[in-house]
Amino acid sequence: MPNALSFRKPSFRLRRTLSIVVTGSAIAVVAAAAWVAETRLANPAWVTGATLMAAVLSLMLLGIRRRIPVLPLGNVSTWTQIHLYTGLFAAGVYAMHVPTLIADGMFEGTLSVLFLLATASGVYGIFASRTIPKRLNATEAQPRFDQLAWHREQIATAAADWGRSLTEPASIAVLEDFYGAALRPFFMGPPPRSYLIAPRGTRRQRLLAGLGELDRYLDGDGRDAAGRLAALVRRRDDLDYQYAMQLRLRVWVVFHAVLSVLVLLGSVLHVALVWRFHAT
Amino acid sequence: MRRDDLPLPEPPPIDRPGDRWVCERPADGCPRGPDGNGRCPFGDACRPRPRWHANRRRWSIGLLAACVIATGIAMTLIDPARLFRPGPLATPHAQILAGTLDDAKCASCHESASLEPRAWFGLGGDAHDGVDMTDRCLDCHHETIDRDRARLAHQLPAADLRQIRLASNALRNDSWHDRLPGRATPADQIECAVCHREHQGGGGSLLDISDRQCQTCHADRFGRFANGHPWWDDWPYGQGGEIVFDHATHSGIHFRDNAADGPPQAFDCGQCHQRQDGGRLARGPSYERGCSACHDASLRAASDAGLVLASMPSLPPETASLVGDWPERATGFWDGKLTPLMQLLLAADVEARGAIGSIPGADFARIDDRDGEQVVAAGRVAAAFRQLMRSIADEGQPAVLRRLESVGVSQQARQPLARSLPPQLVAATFDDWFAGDASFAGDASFAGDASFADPPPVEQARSAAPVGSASMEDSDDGLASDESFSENESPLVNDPLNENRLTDDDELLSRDDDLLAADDDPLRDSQTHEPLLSVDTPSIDGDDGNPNGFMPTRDRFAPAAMLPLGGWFRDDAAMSIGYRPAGHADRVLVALIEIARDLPHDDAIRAALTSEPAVQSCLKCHRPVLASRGKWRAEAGQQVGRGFTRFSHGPHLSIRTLADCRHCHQVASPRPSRETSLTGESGHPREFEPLPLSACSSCHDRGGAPDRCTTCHRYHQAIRSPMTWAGSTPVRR
Repeated sequence: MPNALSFRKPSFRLRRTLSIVVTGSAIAVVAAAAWVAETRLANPAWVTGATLMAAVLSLMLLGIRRRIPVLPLGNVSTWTQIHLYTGLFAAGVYAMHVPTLIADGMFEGTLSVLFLLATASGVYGIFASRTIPKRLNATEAQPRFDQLAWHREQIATAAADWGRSLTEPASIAVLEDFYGAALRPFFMGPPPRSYLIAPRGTRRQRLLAGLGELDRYLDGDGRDAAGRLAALVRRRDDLDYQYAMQLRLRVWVVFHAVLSVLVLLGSVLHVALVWRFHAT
Repeated sequence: MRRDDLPLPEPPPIDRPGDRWVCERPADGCPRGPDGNGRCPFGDACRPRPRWHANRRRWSIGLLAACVIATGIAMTLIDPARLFRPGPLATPHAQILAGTLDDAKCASCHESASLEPRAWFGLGGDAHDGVDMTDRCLDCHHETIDRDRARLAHQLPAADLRQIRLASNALRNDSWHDRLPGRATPADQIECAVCHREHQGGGGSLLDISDRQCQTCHADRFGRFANGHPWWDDWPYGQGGEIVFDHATHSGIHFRDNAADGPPQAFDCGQCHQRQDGGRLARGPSYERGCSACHDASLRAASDAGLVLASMPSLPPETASLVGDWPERATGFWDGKLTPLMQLLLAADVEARGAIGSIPGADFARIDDRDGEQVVAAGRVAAAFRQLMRSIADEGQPAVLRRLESVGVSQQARQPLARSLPPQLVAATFDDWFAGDASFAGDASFAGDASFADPPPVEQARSAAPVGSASMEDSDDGLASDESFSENESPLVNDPLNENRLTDDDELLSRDDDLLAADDDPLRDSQTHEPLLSVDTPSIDGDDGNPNGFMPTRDRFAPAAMLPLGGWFRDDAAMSIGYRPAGHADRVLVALIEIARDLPHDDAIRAALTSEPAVQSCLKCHRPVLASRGKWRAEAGQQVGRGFTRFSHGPHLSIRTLADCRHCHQVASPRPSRETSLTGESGHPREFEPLPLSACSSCHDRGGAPDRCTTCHRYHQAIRSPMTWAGSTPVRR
């Protein structure tokens, strides 16, 4: 029987609702502050700009936290959630800060585009972090990204040994032709870029169908060898799928991080310009 | 085990995920593996492969470096001013600076040194220090905004703002807006950029001021125009223009009465207030187009009385003998009244001004012979009058200008009068009246009056000789010692023109007899046929120039017949120099009114001048001219001033229901006289029924016509007197 006083972690839905409410409230508070600033004949852009700069700096804390794993600063999952809703908050404040979505000036316009790209990549990150792990878990094995090359070599080596158990020359000739024409490029080469961008099962199905078509030309040992090659094709395709999905996540992180750094640098320069050239 | 199942070896046990490099022979590699820099401990035995971490760092640094290099190249190829400009200027400023280079454009408002990136961080000298953007704005806008008051709220001094605030505080209601923080900028340090934000692009408006900004300083804040705006109950205020026009009497009495004499005349607003370019309405028509048809006759009748510059007073013989050189024709009993214009010119003489004050009503006929002071004052005035005539005769316009200047008349006002007065007329008159006539020489006690060659300033004169304060003894001493006007030394004595003058008493008498015997003697019934008072003016063509049958003679000048276009003339019978106005917009009358405007408000001469019938006929419509900065003509269009509130009729008249002026402007009921008219809260006469706020807010509300503050109100105000704002105080219903 569970202890009635024990802490129950709130459900994901409740946490998401609370986070959205808190984020919306924060945006409303900034909007109210900007409204009050305007009623005081102050420039509301100072309020929203300072808040936006603080939000951008806060967003950078996640990267710092990930690079300091030894300190007891909470788990990365919590930091990621804070990062996610801080990003939404920053997007709302940005909408209040700028007169138009993309500024007219060269530098300001570039900064606007960078911020919007970083925001868009962040939104995609939310989508990717919700969907890609499920797709990765759908495969039989989930090797680490840095071990994929080793597994790929093992599969290629195993495929090259297909002929050791065969004695029938006809089977050897049929499988050798097929291996040389279709399987060797598949096992030895890296996955094509089109597959990395949009991984699909067409190539796998085509190879498995070709192996199946060979059955009528093979004897019993030859069919066993074809079956092992088919298994290797599936293993290699799963491996490529893992590689494509993990690479997508990693490239997205690099893209988002580089954009974030550029936004930070541009924001600092923007603040320096504003501080220097503000009209009064 | 299925036929297609294939067991594969497990990953090698040596696994360091955090490493950036991995051995190329993981299956049988060494236990240490490559170091952090990707070098194998066995030298060239194998070539470690980079892991994802190493590739990621490489790509991240490469991307950032590429961006930094691209930025550097951009700053090299593109002018920094153009690269870092936050956005295009507003269209008006962009048009002005269209022909200049980028650096010069920026330097128009920004200190040029600050455009250097080094200066942003305090490394490039003074940079932006000391540059005040408002000063830069005023370099161009100083014509419309006073530089000294540009930073004041509404360009009003603190005292004026306090006056308005106090008036509003008494009427305000509590609101949650009152709990908001106060303004961030002091009321005397409001920079241009507080409201006008540049670099918003061509589509942005520098005048896009929000209602919240407007209400920052206002004591009574409210949500929107239709709900909470301070109530008014006296707008439009009514008489406020340069021309006095009573809509009520014209629409309710004059046009109605005229209808009985002929075809009914509709009181059509559009006849006078015609639409002009830009949708504005004319303030009013010209006199010739809108007023002359009805007012020409009455105006001419009123101005026919004319003006008298100089009128010879009549003195008793004993006083005339004391004055000396006084025409015998002007001798007999006390008579004659000093005209306002003569008083004005004599006022330059300190003693004469005081003497005039001793004469009751400046009327010689009211002098009491038993009052020695009055008699002496009359003699002094008579001497001053003669000196006035003589100085004008001798010096001409400079004498008039000098006398007017000494009493405080501005150059603009005194010049038209002096320009119109012909000195030869005065000289000839002086010769005829004083030098050409047998006169009382007497002992000439007043003959040596003080010279007016250089009269003292009026301030000095008033302080030195208040009215009636001059002692007779002192004056006599002074006058007796001055012999400048003795007959023998007078330059007029030997004037060859004098040979044609009437110098013989007998001849004058005989001529008088002839005049008295004539049937058409205008003096015989001067009470009823005084030509100066004649209403009917003969035509200048001369064909029917004398409808009354009055024929002018050389014995008595008839100005109505001989001066239909107006001008100066001399009347020997009345011994006066007069002026006949030329009708509407007569320059001499205009000059006289402007002279009266320059005089102090409590000056008796000012009151006398403005009481002249001819002047009164002008002031009936041009009363505001007597104000300090009144104008003679109405402004070309309405709402051209710089008040707080503006209104444009143009867009309103395009609406069918509003095309009829009476929809908004309902003329109040006619009243018998202006003195009994009601006045609104502003103190102006109320000619129209008040236009309530709801009449405007029915359209100017959310979802309808604009209801922002700047739709009807101006922020920038010209410098005005605090009294001007008294009528602008909002009132609460």
